[in-house]
Order: sequence, then C-alpha cells, then structure tokens
Amino acid sequence: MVQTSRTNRKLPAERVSARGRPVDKIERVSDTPRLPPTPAIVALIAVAAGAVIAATTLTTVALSADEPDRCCPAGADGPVTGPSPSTRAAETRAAGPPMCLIGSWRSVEEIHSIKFYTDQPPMQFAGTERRYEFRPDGTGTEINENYTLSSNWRGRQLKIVGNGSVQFTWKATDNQITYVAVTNAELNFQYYDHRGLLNTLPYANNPALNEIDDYICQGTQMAEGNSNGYHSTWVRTTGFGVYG
Amino acid sequence: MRIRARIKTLCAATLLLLAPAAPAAADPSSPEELAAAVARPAIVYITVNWHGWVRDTKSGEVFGGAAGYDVKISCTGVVINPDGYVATASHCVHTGPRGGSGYMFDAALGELAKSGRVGDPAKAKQLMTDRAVAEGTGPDRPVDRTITVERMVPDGKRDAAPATVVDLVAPEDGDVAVLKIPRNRLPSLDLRMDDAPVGTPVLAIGYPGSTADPKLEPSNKNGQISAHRTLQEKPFYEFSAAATHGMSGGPLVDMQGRVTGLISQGAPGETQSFNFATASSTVATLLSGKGIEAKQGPHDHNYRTGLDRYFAGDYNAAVNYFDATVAGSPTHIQAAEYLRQAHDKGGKPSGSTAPLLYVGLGCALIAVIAIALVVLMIRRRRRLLSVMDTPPYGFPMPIVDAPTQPS
Repeated sequence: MVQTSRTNRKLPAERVSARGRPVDKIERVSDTPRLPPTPAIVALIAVAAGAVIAATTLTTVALSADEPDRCCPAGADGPVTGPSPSTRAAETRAAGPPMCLIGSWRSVEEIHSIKFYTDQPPMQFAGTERRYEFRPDGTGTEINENYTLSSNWRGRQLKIVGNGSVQFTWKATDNQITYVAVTNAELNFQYYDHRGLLNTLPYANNPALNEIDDYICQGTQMAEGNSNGYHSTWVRTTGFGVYG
Repeated sequence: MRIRARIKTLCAATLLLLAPAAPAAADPSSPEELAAAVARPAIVYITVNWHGWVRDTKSGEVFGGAAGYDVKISCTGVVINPDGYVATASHCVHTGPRGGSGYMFDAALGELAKSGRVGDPAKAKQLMTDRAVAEGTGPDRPVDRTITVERMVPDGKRDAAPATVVDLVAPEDGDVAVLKIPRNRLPSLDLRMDDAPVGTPVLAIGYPGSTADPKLEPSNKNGQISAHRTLQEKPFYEFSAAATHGMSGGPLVDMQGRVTGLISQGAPGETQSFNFATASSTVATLLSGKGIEAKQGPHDHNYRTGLDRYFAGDYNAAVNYFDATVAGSPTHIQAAEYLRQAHDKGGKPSGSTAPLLYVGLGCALIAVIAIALVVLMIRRRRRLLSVMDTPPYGFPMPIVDAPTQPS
C-alpha cells in the first residue's frame, strides 16, 4: 500500500482494486476518520454568537458609561502648591535734599537784625520780594532786584537796597537748612538814612558761611528763621521745580 | 483618545435612544451663571509690588527719599494652562511708563503735589513721563518688581505664589503678559480663537478696586461685545460690561466660559462702562512664540462635564465628575463645593466600568476562540468529505459502522 505522508488516504488505484473485496472495504471504511459532529459545530457557533453579542453589549455599555477622564497620579507632575513669595531685602539709596525745599521762592516777609550804625546795636529791618532758587544738586541762587530792607530809628527812615545775585551751596535736613558757602556773589548793598546814600558795600564770597536756619516747609509756603533775629516767609513760584 | 471619544459619542448616542427620560433638570438660572461657574476657578488675583526711585533726568532730582517708593497694584489674571501659566494685562507688570514706571511716577507726583510742586496734574504726568525714569538703587538700575499670584485653596486659605514674566507685549502694543507660577494642575480656561461677533454676550471677570475680598471672590459683570477695534495693529474688543482698574487682565468670557479677551485699559475720555479687551488671539500668538500651549487638563474637562451633569439634574454623574476633578486638581475648591452640593441633592458616586470592559473583552476572546474552532471543524469536515467515495449521482456515501469480522 502506498500512502501519502500527509493524509494517510488511499490512492485511487488502490481503492478501485479494493472494490471487489467487501471485507477489505468494510475494514477501510471503519478506518476513515470521523467527521466532526454537526451538533458540536452548531453549539460552537451558538457560543461564538453569544460571546460576540455579550462582548459588544458589555463594551458598548462600558465605553458609553458616563465616566470622567482619568488624570495623573498625585504628585506625578510637580507641586500643586509650592513656594510662597519671599520678602524683599531692604534697599536704600542716598537721599536727596528735602523735596519741599526744591524750587523757586519769593519772600513775602523778611525781618533781619542788622547793625546799621557802627556805634548802635543791631536794629530790625523788614523787606520783601527777594527771590531764591533751591536746586536738587545742592546749589542755589539768590536774586535781589531793588530788594529793599527798611527800618525806622529815632524817626529816621533807614534803608538798605540790594541789587545783584548770589550763588551758594546748601544742604538741609527735614527742619534745618545750612547755607554752606557763597560761591559767587555779584551783589551790592546800598545803605541810606535821612541824609541819603551813606555807603555801597559788595557782598563778598564766603566759602565758610555755614549759616544754619530752622525752617518749616509746607506745600507752597516756607518759613525760615534763626536765633539772630532773622525770620522770613516765602511762597513758591513756578519758575523752577514745579511740574505742570 | 480621539477614537475612544468617538466610540463613546457613538455609543452614547445609541444608548440615548434607549435611555429612559432624563431626571428633572436644574438648569442654571442664566447663561451667565454657567459661564461664571466654568470660568471662576481659573481666575487669580495678582499683586505687583514695585520698589524704586524716580529720577528727573533733566534736573537730576531723585524722588523717593532713602527708602524709595513702594507701590502695590492689583490686577486680575486667568490660568490658561494647568502647568502654572497665567495670562494678564501687561500694564500690570510692564516696567514702562504705562506700567511700573508710571505707577512710580504717580507716587512721586503725589508727593510733589503735597509739596505744592504740581500745577496741572495731566501736564505734570506728561512732563514726568517725558523726562523722568524709574530706577533701582542706582542710576539706570532696574526697579524691583515682585509679582504674586493668589488663589483660594481648601480650608479657606489663600495660596500665594511668586510669579515670573514669561513674555509680554507692551501695553501700547497689545497689553498682554504671560506669567508662570510654580504650581501645577491648576484649573484653566480655554481660549476662544475665532472672532467673537459684535453683540456676543460676555462676562467681564475680575477684582475691582484695590481691596480684594478676603475670600477672593471676583466680580462678574455682564455685557456684550460692542465693537471690534484695532489699536497699533492689534485686535481689541470694545465691550459694554463695567470694568475698573483692578479688573485689568481679567478675562472676558463668552457664555461657554471661553476666554474671548483680556480686560485692558479703557480708552481715554470714555465713561467707565466702555472698555477695551485684548483679543485672545494676541494671547495665543504670544504663547506660541514661547512654545507654550493654551490648554486645559483632564480635571478641567471633568469639571465642565460635571457642571453640565449637575445643571441637568444628573447628580450621580456630577458626583463622579467632580470627584475626578478634585482628584486631578486637589486645590479646585469650586469642584469641591459643587461636589458637596451634588451630594446634598442626593448624588451618589458609581463604581468604575473597567470590570465591565474586562468582562466584555473576555467574551470577545471566547467568541474568537469559538469561531476559530468552528472554522477548523468545518474545514476538517470538508476535507474528509472530499476524500470519501461517492456514488455516480454525486451523493456522499453514508458512513456505516460495520460489525467487526470475527477472527
């Protein structure tokens, strides 16, 4: 007998020769592999169908469920809370002169104690309309245009008239101003009494003036004075230091 | 993710046909309520502390004394990326005359006014702007700027985070700044990228005034887009909702809670109820220049869906979504509050559907195996039938179990 290695099936020629021998034929029929039973196939098809329906239904229900998106595990992507702002280290800068002093001023009242006669004690003189400019760099200008100080002594009219300007340096705290030096004076004072002009004296530079006055500055007014009998009141003008 | 979403949508649509009637709805009282509820968690309170001096470059006068000026301003911001990115108006953080320097100038002018050194305030401001600079401890050194972003977190606390400026466009060029804070998983809002038509209802949200509510509850002003404007080639919206300075940088949101614009400075001379907002496209452009994406996190989607479920009266689903929101964004106090309210209204959490999915997959496996077996069996059957002898008429010979031959 010749058999194929794959199927064990009989070759057709052999089958033909076997037809004339019933016994052999019966033996060979009983050797034929059984066909898979039809009920088993049907059952498997039923199982498959059922499984498909179940899988579809369950997957549909699961996927269509009203379920939130899932997010990252806690702490997976950094802090939810974290560092707070740090406090700033204190920084300072050299303070400039008091802001209120900066600007241009005009005197509305001045009282000076001036020694007019050499043989008389100092006497009070009053005047107005002197102009000042205090700049933030510590320099200043005093302008006298027929600046007149007047006094009355024993019925005599005394008068001092100033013309010219003075450049000076200054510094100040919140309540004291120091006129440090007169750096450039182009100012003359003329002294008059009942007899007329007595003398004309120039105002000289003075690198070590260091005159210290107390002051109060509030808005557009400033008051200044010292223990030598000097005091004055000033109002701010728009010449310098005013914005707008 | 997209495929899953599509499947979900398809399945949901299918199930909707079979679903019973929805429970009684608890719609928001107005579209603005929903928009406010969506937007509220992403609103942050911004304070900027400026410290420095002002120097008049012409006179050399330095204002600020020894200690300098400390100027504190407040603005509003909106989180546009959960990883700590906050959008606001640049005039809140910019160092120029329309930002920090301007605030310093104002401080100096205030002091000058007390000294009687200010004539016409407007002219004074202009003069100061023209010839003064704001600077730090020395000439031309930068002013000190400290930005703090605050938001409410659980237990009634305020979380203050230091912020840095990622990028900005100057106030006169678009008025947008993006800040970064060292926080993650923040509630964030979506940017509306298309032009909002004139007439679109909007909410202007922010913290008006200089004193913020201790609980940082922002103000929501409703109005609408009044006009499209272009300033310095940048798109702006004119809107009718009332907004004040503290609301600068706050979002202008549409009724879907999307950021349509950022509240900017009002036009000079206009009344308070006419304001300008930078279009959100300027924000997007700024972000893309830095490789940052305006996006929302899963917790934002969950929160939004939770709100939808909540207002639809589906409190069970709302509980699930708000639960997930809080899990994803632990400091999301609004989600926690809505979660509590959903619980109060009878909402109960439901279990995960993951087991159901696994069983479904198991069934699918069984089906595959069964089908494979059926195919194998049928093929075997065909093979066997093909080698059987057949009668002349073509019918297969019946298989007969023959008795065994006695030996």
